[in-house]
Amino acid sequence: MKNGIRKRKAALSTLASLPLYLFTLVFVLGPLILMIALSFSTRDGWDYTSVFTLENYAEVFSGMYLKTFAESLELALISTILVVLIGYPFGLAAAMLPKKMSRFIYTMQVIPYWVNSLLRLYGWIIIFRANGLLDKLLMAVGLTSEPLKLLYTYPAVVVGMVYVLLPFMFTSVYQVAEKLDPTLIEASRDLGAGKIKAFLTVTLPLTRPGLATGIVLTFIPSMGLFFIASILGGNKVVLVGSLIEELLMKSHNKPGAAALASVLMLLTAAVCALLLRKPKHER
Amino acid sequence: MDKNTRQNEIILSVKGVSKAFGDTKVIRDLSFDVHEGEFLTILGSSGCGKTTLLRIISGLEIPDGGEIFLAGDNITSADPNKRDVNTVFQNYALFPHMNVFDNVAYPLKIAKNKPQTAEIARRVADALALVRMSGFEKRFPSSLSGGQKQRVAIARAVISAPKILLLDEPLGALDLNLRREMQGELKKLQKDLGITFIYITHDQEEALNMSDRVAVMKNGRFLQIGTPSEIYDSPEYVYIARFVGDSNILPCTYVSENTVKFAGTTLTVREGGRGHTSGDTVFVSVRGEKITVGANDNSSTVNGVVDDVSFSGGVMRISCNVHGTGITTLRYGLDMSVSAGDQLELSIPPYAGVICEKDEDV
Repeated sequence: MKNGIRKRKAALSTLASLPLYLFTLVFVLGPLILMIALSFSTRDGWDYTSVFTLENYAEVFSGMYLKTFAESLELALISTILVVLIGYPFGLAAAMLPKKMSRFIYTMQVIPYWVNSLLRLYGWIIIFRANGLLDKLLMAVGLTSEPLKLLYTYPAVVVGMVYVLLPFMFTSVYQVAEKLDPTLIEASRDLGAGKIKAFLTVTLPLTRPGLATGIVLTFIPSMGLFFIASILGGNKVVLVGSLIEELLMKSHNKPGAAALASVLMLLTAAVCALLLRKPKHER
Repeated sequence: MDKNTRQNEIILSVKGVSKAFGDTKVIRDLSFDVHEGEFLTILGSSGCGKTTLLRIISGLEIPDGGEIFLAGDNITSADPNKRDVNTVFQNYALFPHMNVFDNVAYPLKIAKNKPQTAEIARRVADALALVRMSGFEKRFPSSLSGGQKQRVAIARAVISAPKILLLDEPLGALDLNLRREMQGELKKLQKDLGITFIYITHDQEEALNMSDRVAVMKNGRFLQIGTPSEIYDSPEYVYIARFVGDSNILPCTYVSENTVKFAGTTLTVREGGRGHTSGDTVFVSVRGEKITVGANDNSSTVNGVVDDVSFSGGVMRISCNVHGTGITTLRYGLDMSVSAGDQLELSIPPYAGVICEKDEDV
């Protein structure tokens, strides 16, 4: 009798979660399979035919694309490192403050991100353009004598990347650090660790999951955030994201775009898998 | 304090230490010495400042005033890692990302002159054997029970052989049976290791059971510091008499040294507190087990009416009303039949009571 009820309950809960599975199948897994299939199809003018070929991948690993990949990777790495260097200490420090202060800073950090990131990026144009806010400020202080013309340069793109991606790092570090028991750091100091050793042996390993999530959330989008490079870098900085867009929209090379996207996905998935491994004590 | 402890050198000396958080004075001009190998318990209710005092000794707080000497060195503002003092935290504070072995080995591994791997392994094994946790090396703290975490925390704190071990209510989170068992173990451990223990608790039974000396703390000060029997038999303050054990507080009129009047009866008591003059109202503390039922030749006798009788274990508690003052007597064995409303004669032997100070001014 009881067993029957339990069985019916289990069946019901399976039924209730069915839409979720269907949704994932139709809108996540389906397109993914289509894309991968597309990447093995043969290009035929503006269209494609379903003849199996590895040519698209051969093209991806040819010189031009590989160079773009390397450049994207470089920008992503530089951005990610800067985001880590700024976001990790900031998130950690904010979480260690008294509760009220901490919450305030967290909110202040999050509010600007309710505005669309494209709009905020246009703000940077005003700051970076020749004789813009930054130039005026630097010249007024006397640090420079003529406009730096920072807009449409590599540093401008890096600043834009860091600006857009910083909150992901801040938020993930903050959320982990907030749960860190401060007694553990005290215990470490009490047992003989100096400030740096206590950080390296206790704070860092225990906030590592937040740092890892932050890196994943920074690194992956930074490979594809082509609009930042377009807006702040003009067309001087070409990223994999821009390349995929170009292949798809301008060259109408759908299989090529699909192959490039697949490789990008594989690369980022590998980074994810590497960074998001569960620590030993949680396995 | 036994003679042995008294001869030992002073290992920790706290001199006029004070600490305030904002406008709240948590520690007020506190001074005391701790002897090498001693088991000192600081007993007080929550908010009396005992945890802050412990944090000042460990270096996690810096006092606003006063000085602290450890084995002769002034450590008042030394960093916690520079002090040869380790703490067993109330919540154990085991590192969740390290297994038992790495937790216990931690103080050795981070030390400036780190011992060799084999040496570390040997010492960890010894420390775990000491707290009967051998075989748990690979386990993570999340898979240990409260009592096991407790033992690991102790092993971790003693492995580097500190001069003093500070224990912040380490048994607070354990259930009663385990707490009793651990009391005995801690006491034995302290004797075996010969390390000075400063132990914090709000549990008077724990304090009396384990300690060489007990300091009763209230409002950032020590009201009294002495051996468990001194604290129990001769409380200097009404607060201590009430806090530690079963006590009757009798409002009396001071007559002369060792003599007071209670409810018209003259009592011979031990002198305590500060100087009093004839006619002053003083408070005398008499332990329940010292008061007997029925007249007794040498004792002073008062008459009361039984309010309530209760039994616990082999002890009978008879609560009486003597001229408006409640007096409870403890009687071992259930050899008497009394019930509420009965008239009763109570005997208070000479020197059973001690004059204590009211402590409103403290």
